Amino acid sequence: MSQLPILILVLPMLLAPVLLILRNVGIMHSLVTIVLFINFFLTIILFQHVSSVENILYEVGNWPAPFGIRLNADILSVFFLIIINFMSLLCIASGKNLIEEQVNKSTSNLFYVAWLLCTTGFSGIILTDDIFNLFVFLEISSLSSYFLVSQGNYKGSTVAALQYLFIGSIAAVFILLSIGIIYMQTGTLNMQDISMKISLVDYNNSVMLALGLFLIGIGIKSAMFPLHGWIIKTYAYSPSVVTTFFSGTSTKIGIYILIRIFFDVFNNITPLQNYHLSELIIYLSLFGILVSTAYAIKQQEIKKMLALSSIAQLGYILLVAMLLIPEGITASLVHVINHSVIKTGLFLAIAIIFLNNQNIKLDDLCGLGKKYPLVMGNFIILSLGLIGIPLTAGFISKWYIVLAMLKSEYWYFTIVVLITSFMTFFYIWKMIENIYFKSTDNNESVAIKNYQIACITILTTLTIYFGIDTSLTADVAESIAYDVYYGAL
Amino acid sequence: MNIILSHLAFLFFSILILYLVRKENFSGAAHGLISFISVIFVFFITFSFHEVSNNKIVLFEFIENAPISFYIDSLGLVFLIISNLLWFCVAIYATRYLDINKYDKKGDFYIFFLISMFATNAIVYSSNLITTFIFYELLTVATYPLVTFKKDEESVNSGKKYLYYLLGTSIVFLLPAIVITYIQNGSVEYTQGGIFSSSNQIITFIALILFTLGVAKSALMPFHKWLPTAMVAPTPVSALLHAVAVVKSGVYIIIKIILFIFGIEVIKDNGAVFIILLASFTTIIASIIALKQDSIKLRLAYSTIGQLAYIVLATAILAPFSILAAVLHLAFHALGKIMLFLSAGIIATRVNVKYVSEMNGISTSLPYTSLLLSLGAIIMVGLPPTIGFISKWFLIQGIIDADMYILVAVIVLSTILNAAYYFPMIYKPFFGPSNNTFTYKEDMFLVLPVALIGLISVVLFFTAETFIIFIEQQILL
Amino acid sequence: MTYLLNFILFLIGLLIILREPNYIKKIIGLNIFQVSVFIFYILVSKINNGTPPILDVGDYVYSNPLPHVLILTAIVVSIATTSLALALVMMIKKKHNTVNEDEVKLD
Repeated sequence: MSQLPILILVLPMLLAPVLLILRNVGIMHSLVTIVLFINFFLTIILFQHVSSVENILYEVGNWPAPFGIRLNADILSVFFLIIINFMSLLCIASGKNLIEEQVNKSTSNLFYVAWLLCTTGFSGIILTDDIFNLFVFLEISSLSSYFLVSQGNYKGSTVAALQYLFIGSIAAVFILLSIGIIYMQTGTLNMQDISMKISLVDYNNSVMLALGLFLIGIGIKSAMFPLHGWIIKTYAYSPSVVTTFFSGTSTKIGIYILIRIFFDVFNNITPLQNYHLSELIIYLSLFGILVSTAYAIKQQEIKKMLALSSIAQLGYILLVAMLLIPEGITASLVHVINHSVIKTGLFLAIAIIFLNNQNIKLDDLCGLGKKYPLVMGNFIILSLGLIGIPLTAGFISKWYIVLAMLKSEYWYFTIVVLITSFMTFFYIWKMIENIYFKSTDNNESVAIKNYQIACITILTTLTIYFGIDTSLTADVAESIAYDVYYGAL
Repeated sequence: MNIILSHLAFLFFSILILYLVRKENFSGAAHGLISFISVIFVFFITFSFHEVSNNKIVLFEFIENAPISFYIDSLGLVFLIISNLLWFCVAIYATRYLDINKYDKKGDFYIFFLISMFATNAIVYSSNLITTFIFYELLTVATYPLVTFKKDEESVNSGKKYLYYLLGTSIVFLLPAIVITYIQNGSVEYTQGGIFSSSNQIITFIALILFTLGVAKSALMPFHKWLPTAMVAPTPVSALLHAVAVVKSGVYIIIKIILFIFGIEVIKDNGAVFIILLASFTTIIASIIALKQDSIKLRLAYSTIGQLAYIVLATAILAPFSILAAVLHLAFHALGKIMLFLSAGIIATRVNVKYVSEMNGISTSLPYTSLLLSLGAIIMVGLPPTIGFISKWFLIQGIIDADMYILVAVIVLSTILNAAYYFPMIYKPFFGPSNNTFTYKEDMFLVLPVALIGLISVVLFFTAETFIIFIEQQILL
Repeated sequence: MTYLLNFILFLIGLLIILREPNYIKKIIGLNIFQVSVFIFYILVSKINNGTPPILDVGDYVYSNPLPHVLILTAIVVSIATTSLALALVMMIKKKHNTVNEDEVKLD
């Protein structure tokens, strides 16, 4: 049981070199699915253990912390870990013919290798207790994601990947610099150690510089306005499975790092308040939500529309997290998991239907309600979830967000949040109208496999389930919030 | 198992049944049967009311201290009886109506109709704001496919506007109102005497405004536009949903909020004036707009807006008699309005008349329909000896008790306007000059449900005494 | 003083990445950017009057070896990033026949 954290990290990494020698896509796909399934299963066991018994600390190589690298599985980590591994499994499981169709045959084994490394990277970021190790895993996941993005069959895929590379590397360097300054001030790299020593250093200018640099790095990674531009091209030009995977995970990792560093490691929120960092993020997020929702309404291309929608939702998550009250962190975490489920489902529905993945415009959605009733039925429930109709997960997030905002000192911004959330309806409904009320002369339809329908139905069922029984989302989020916040005071 | 839960469970599982038979010819009959069984459930609840009333059944602890829970009280019982009984009548009417007008995909129609009525019943049974909100939104979503049933461009655009108004107001106004109530008072349950305390007047006032604007289903101005827009739907939809189920849910929720969330004491000093002003304004302006409408359905829609404003006005006056009037008018207006809409549907279908100016002389082809139309119109205007008069009488009593004499002028003015725009509908079919020769075109299947409702209204006038005493005992405690 | 120079290098690197349209020059800028951070770490590790961190008999003040180790890791990451970037640039040259950002058409 104490070995679980390292096992979860290592398992995909072990499979990766094996895949380099294989040629048959079918075997590769099955192996990857099996390993990711085992991984997911292990994460569930870890979650059970951590939530009911105690946190698990694992020292790599038996070197004691703070000299060695330690893995820390606490409730915040396993919360995100489950989301990442579940989405990774789901996207690969439903993506077999998508990968065959879109990824270059000669490099498809590299594709799977990169996928596994990306999952490992994400899991590593979440599990590690060492701040430099965070950077290393961040780079592992980033490099593999650059590769994954470049595998799309769009004309612009490599360019989008290169642009993503530059921006991602800038973010990583900011984070690296910040880590250097923190090390300089505290003399240790272990997160729990830093949190003890940072208060002794008393938040001088260097530490504030480190915080600021970290914020920029994380802001780029979690698509905070105005550093969000890279997401649109990245989501639009990568292979469909990759977009589906990233929509639910890569930006959420940024949120994890934010909560971990700002609330857990720098466990004192007064610098955030005194230097008005939280206020800055709140204003930027509000503006970002408005702008991206407005752009989404004008957007004709589906993937870009959904990408802009993601930016808006991430704006909500950042906004409530920076309210600096425990209800805010609860709302933020609840929306993380609910939005992952909903957005992954929406992207998956689009991916399944548009196999060849070229520029998908709004008009291409006409008549889909008749051609693919099951997939579109799921799509409509997920869309209702995004708008926030009760009995879906989206409503729960909305409730908690409004609750957090009204309880904070920025309650007058609730009206902006509500109006933008209503604006979501505008662009979603454009899609729904085309799907159900317009018809098309194009009679070709793609054969949807049963397992794909099963995958998307799983996501829809989760949306409704999390809309009714909130113990897994809201209760866990609340306990994390109280741990993190009162630890931070 | 508890009868309320069994009723809701029955309706919920019937959705599956209707889904399975949606391609069959007997889907209409199945729908009618389901509505009939629903009425039987309501009968049982009525007769066992003393055992069942006011026991809350918690289904699910949804959010901390805001569970999904149900109960039934006397106000709810009134609405329950009316909506289910009328649902049954409209189900019979709809079967025939859809056949005559050759709509396809009838099975889908019945499914969404059933879901809407399920949501309405669940709203009636809700014992707190969060349950209400859930089923309120479900009702909006479920009625959308019915509004856009014809699937032509006008319907789709109207449907979009319909959703803008209803979802927009509920997300932007109603949701924060509920959250404010939750934060302020720790719970959102409907409780006798209200859960708001008299402290913190500003927050109470803001919450009140948000609630009033947020429950757009009560069709108060300025968010009333969805109702005329929804008239593109087929007549059974306009009749049952937009004269009974949806709009009455709106006013029912407002009554419950005024009485059981804020409480009479709190509202008396804080906010009653706002609602009274808004409602008076709505009723007069709506009546004026109704005068200008030539389309029968639009005239009826604006009439509904005005009548609903009466109900809200009556509740906000906070006198015992006016609250009684509100509850009575909830029921009586439903009866009258449904007769009007269903008759209008018959007229549109059988002689293809959709405008008031074309109504001359149709009583020769549709004598019974014209008679029932007139009966409905007289109820709406509130002339004796109809039930409409009873609710107006109590309303004026309540106004006098509360010393708000200026409102008598409002009532008189709007009644005159009502009479003005209803009069052509009574006069023209019988006495209007026409050159066309119409043949007898009554369809018994369509007329009988309307006649049944007419019969109930007439009987109700004479048995109103028991009804009133029952309500007086329960509500005014 | 050296920190200031380091910071200027940081800014130069960042500016190159953001402003140059040529991809190869951007990669060079990325490298400069990353190297500036490496130098920062090394600057941090040097302790006044410190000797190289090799254990020896006697009472010495050693410079901090840990940042050097961290830099090794970061250099490896930087190499991997650069090679991936160069591979992508080669593919772009093959597909679009240019390595200039302004001339590349995405659709």
